[in-house]
Amino acid sequence: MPQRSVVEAPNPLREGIRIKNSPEPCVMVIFGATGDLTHRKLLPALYNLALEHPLPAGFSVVAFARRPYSTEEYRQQALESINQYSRQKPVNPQVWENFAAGIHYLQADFNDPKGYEKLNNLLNLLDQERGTGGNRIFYLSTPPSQYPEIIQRLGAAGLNRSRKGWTRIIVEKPFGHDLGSAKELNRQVGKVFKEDQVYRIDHYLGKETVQNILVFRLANGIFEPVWNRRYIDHVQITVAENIGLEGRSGYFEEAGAIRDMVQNHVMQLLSLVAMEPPITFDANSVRDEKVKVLHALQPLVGQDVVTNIIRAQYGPGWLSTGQQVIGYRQEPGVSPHSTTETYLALKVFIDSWRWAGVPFYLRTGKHLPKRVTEIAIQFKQAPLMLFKRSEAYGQVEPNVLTLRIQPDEGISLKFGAKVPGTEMQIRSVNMDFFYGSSGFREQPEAYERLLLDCMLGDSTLFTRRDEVEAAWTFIQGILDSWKNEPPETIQTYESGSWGPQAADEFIWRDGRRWRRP
Amino acid sequence: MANDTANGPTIRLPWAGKWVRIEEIEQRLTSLWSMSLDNLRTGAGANINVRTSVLNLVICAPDVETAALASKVLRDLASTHLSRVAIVVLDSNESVSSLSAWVTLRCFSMISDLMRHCFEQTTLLAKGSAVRAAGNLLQPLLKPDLPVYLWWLGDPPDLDDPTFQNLVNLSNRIIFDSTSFFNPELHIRSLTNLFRAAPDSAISDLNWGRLTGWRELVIQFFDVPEYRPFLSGIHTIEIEHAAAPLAEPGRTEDGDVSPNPIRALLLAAWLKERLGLTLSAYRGNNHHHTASGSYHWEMQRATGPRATGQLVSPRSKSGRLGGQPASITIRPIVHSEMRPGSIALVRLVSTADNKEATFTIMRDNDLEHVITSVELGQETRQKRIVSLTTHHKESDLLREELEITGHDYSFEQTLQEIANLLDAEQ
Repeated sequence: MPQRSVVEAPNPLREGIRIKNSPEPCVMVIFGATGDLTHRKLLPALYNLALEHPLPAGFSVVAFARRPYSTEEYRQQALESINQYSRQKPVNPQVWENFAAGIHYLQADFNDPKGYEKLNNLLNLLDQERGTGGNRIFYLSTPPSQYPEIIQRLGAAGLNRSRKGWTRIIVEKPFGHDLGSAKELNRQVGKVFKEDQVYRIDHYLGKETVQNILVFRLANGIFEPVWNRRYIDHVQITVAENIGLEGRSGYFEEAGAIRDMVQNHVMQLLSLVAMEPPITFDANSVRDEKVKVLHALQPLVGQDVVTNIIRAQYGPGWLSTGQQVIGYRQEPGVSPHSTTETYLALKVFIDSWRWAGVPFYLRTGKHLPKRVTEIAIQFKQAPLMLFKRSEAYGQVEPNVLTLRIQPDEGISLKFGAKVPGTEMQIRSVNMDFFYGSSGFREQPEAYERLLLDCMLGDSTLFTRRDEVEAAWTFIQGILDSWKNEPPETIQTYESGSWGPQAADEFIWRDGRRWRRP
Repeated sequence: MANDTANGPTIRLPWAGKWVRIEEIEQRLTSLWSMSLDNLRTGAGANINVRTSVLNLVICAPDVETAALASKVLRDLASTHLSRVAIVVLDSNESVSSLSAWVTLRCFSMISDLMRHCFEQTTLLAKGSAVRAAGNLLQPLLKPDLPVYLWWLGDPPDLDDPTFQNLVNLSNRIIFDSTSFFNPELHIRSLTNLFRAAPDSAISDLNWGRLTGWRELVIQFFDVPEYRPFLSGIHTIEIEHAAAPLAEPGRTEDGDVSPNPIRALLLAAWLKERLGLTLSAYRGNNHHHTASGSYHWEMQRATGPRATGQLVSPRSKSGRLGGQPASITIRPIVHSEMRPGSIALVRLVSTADNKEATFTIMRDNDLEHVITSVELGQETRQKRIVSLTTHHKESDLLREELEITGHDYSFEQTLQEIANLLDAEQ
C-alpha cells in the first residue's frame, strides 16, 4: 500500500475536529534510557500522551542503554518514574499495561556495532508485530560526548533511513560546547541524517507561553506598530533559578551559565521577541526570521565584554526557602579556584532597523530569590510630561509589558492611573492576564508537545542547524574574550540575592534598573 | 406585577448573593468591586485587581433548583475568564408576575490568595408574564464588546417564544445539553430548526463534547496510512448505546431519559457526513423503533471520502452520489451501570483492495476505558486499551464550549444530517 505521510495527506475525518492530530505508529529509540532525563521527562511525557490518546496503537519504545536490565526490570523502573514524575497520577493501570507492552530494553554499549545490529533486528520485529511501519525516532538522551559515536554507528548500521516509513533523530541540548564543537556536531549529524530528519530540542520552545509570545505579537494589531526602537526604551529578559547545582557540578563546571542558559534558552526568547513577522507560520519561515535576529546581534568582543557583561558566582547565603547554603566554590565537585559563572548579565544590541540602539538586558543565575522567566518590554516615557506642576511629578512610571513564561504564565501591562481624589496623584497599576493554564487547567508538559510534534513531522519548535551556529557565533566571541581575562573579574553574590552589586551598577550607569520579577 | 422590588422577594436565595432592586444592580455590583479591592492585600508589587475579561455568560433555568446547580458549576469555570454571569430563572407557570434580582461577586484563587479571579453574577427571577422582560433586563447587564454565551438548561423551547427569541438575538452562541432532553428525537430536531432559524447564532450541545473521545478514536484508526484506504470503503456502521433496564421509555431514578439515542445519532450523522454517505433511494429496510431507540438506514457510499478542504457552512453543502451499498445501524443495549445514551460500541466494516477490515471501539463493563481493535482479514491487529470515561464533568464540557469562538461547523453539519436521517425513516 502506498506510504503517505499523515502530515502531507490529512485524514479527512479530522476536518473540523478540535483535537490534535494523532501520529502514525512509530518506535522511539531512547539512547541513555536509564538516565535522569528519560526517567523524569521522557517516559512521563510519553505515558501522558498515551493516556490522553494522541499516541497510536502500536507505539513502541526501545530503551537502549548499557546497564544490565531485563525488559521487565526496565518496565518496573519506568512505572516508578512515571508514578513519581507524571503530571497525571496515579498511573492508570490499564493504560500502563498497554503502554508497557510496547517498551523493550536493549542492553548494549553505544560503541558496539553488535548493539546496533540487535537494534535493527528488534525494530524490524516491532514493525511486524506492532505495525510501526518503519517509522523511527532516535532520541539522544546521553551525555553530549556520546552523540558522535551513536550517530556514526546508526549510519553505519543503515538505521539513518528505513526502507519504508520515516526516520528522525532528536538531539538534546547542549548542541556543542562552543562554536567549533557545535559545527562539528552538526557536520557529524549532517553526514548521516538530512537536516529535515534532525530535531534539536530545547524544551523551552514547548512551553505554551513561549509559543504565546508569537501569538501575542502577531495576532494583535495594536502591538506591532509600537514594537520597535521608536517606542521601546529597552527590553529585559530574566531567566532566574532559585536552585543550585542539583548534583550536576561536573556538567556545570564545564558549561557555566552562558552555555547552560544563555546560548539556548535566553537566545530563543530573544529571537522570538525581536524577530520580524514571518511570511507564513511554517517551520522554516519562523526559523528564518529567528536566525536573522541572531545574525544581527552586535558582537561582544574586547572591551565590550568588560563593560557589557557581568559574571559572578554565588557565595554562601540563605535562600528564600529558608535554607542556608554554601558558596559555589565550596560545592562538591567544584574547583575551589573555579571561574565558572553561575550568574550572567549582558547588555546586547540588535543591529536592525527595528532595534538599532535599543538595549536588551539579559540575565540569568542560580540561587536567586525565585524561579522566574520573563520578558519585560519597557516603553519610552510619554513625550511631554503634563503633570510637572502637580503632585504627580515624578510619579509617572514608564509603561511595561511583561510576558511571564514561568511560573504564573501570563501577560501584564503596567500603566499609570489617577488615584481617585482631589489631588492629581498617579499610581502605576498592572493589568494582568493569567494564562488559562494557571491553576485550573492542566496543560501538557513541554516535552509532550515537542515529542508529539516530532512524531507528526512538525519542526517549528525545534532549532535548526544555522540557528544553533548563529547563536554560538555570538557566544563564541564572549568565550574567546574571557580566556584572556584574569580570574578576579568574576564577582561573588550572596545566595538568595538578585545577583552582585556590580550588576545593579551596570544597569544604573545607563539610567535604568533591573526589574524585581 | 407583584412589587418584589419594594420589600424584597418572598424567596431567599443565599447562593445568589444579596437581593437588590432591579434598577440598582449595576450600582451594587460596582460597590461589590470596591469592597473587593479594599479587602485585597496591598503589599509591595500587589496588583490592583483588574480582570481579564473574555465573555458574558447568560444561564437560563426553568426553576430555582436548576439555577442553583448551574451556579455551582461556575466554580470550576474561572479559567475561562468569565466577565459577567447572569442567571435567569424563567418561571412562566406562576399566575402572579414578579421580577427579583440578586447580585454577588464570586472570586476564586488562581495561584495564591494574592491572585484571585472574580466575576460578577446577577440572578434574575422572572415569574408569570414578567418572563417576557428577561431579554430587556439583560441588555444593560452585558459587558460591552464581549461575546454572549447563552446556556439554556432543559428542553429547547418553542422557537416562536418571544422571550427565547430575544435571548437568542443577543447571544453569539447558544449551548444546550441534549442528554437531558425529555423527548430526544423531537428536541434534537428543534436544535436543527433553531440553527436554520437563527443562522447568526452558533449552537453547541454538551453531548457533542461527550463524543469527542469517541470521534478521536475513530479518526485515529485512519491516521495510520495502512488503514487510510479503508476509509473510502466503509460500508457498515454499527453503533450501540446504553439503555436503562426499564419496561418502557421514561426517566430513570437518576432522572435520565431512557432510551436516549442522541449521542448515537450524532455519531452516526457525523460519520455519514464525513464519509460522504447518502441515503439510499431504497428505504425498504430502513426502520426506527422509538420505544427501543433502534434505527437502521440503507445508504449509498460515495466514490471516496469527503475531500479535505476548508469547511463551509452546511447551507452551501452539496450532496454527492455514489453507487455502493452501505448501512448505518443504531441499537440500544441494556446496561445497568452506564448512563442511558452512553456509547457502548462503534464498529466500522470496510472493504478495500478486496480485503475486509473491521475497526471496533468497544466498552465492556469498564466505565473508564474502552478497547480498540482492528481486524484485517482473519488477523486481529494490536488491541489497545484507552482511557475514555463515561463520566464527564458538566463544567469541563461547558468550558470546552465557552472556548469556541464562532460556529462549530462540524457540529452544525451533523445536526443537519440528523434531521436528514430522521426524515428518512420508512
